[in-house]
Amino acid sequence: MKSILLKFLKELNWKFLLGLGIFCLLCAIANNLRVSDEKSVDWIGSQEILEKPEDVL
Amino acid sequence: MKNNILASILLLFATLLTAFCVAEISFPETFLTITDKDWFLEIFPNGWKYNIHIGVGAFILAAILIIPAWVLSKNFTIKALETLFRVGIGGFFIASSLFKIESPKEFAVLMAQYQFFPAFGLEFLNNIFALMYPQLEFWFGLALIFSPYTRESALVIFLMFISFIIALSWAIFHDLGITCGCFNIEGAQDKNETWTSLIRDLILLVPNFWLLCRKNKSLIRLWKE
Repeated sequence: MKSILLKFLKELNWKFLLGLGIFCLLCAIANNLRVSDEKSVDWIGSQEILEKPEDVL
Repeated sequence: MKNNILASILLLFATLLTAFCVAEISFPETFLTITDKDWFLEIFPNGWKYNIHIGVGAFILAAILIIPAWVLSKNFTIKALETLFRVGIGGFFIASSLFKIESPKEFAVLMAQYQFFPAFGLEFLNNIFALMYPQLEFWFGLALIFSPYTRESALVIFLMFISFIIALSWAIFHDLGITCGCFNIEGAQDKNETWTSLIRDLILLVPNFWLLCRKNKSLIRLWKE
């Protein structure tokens, strides 16, 4: 099992994975700059936790 | 040739049943479902409760239909299945990413409701994850359909499915009463649909795992060989 997993990981094209991963990060940054202020978020941080509705089934 | 046509018909039915399964489980009240239709409820007044059962049943039936198609034409069935899975799962991820890309704030709010990061003292990661995740969904969904890197794209999508399953299990365990919010943020806190999303993701994990075991090929090359 371990050898199958290692073989699988070895055969992966890591350049593609890393390249597209970095591209996604750049797109994420560009998208946050593109959208209006009410739709964008702070780079670091979280959002407030809403109260659980009473009518949850 | 005749076998290929018969296999195509069987796979077409299997595809329709899978679409019906996903709709019944995740998107009730669409044209693909029956458990919300008046004629069905007249015959089975409590039928609406069984949408998950009917959806899972349809998926099992779809899986059974693949067997005769496989026997009739193994090569054709493998190629058709790979195409259907890549287009289906890739399309699913692209569709689910669009509204999140359009409104990162709403998705960040939804992610915060899972209260997953704060449990590990990592709440500062919430927003950057909310920005990054939809991009991964969109570009790797696109790569799964159009690029030859099937395994790499399927691996990232597989890991995203695992993360959804962990998040949904977390929500069920902590009784958070939220849905996955995969396709619509609105109403994400109104219904307790977490179970249905979890079952859907577990079902979709199966074809995704199969794609992980395939060789890297573009869809064009797959059909040329």
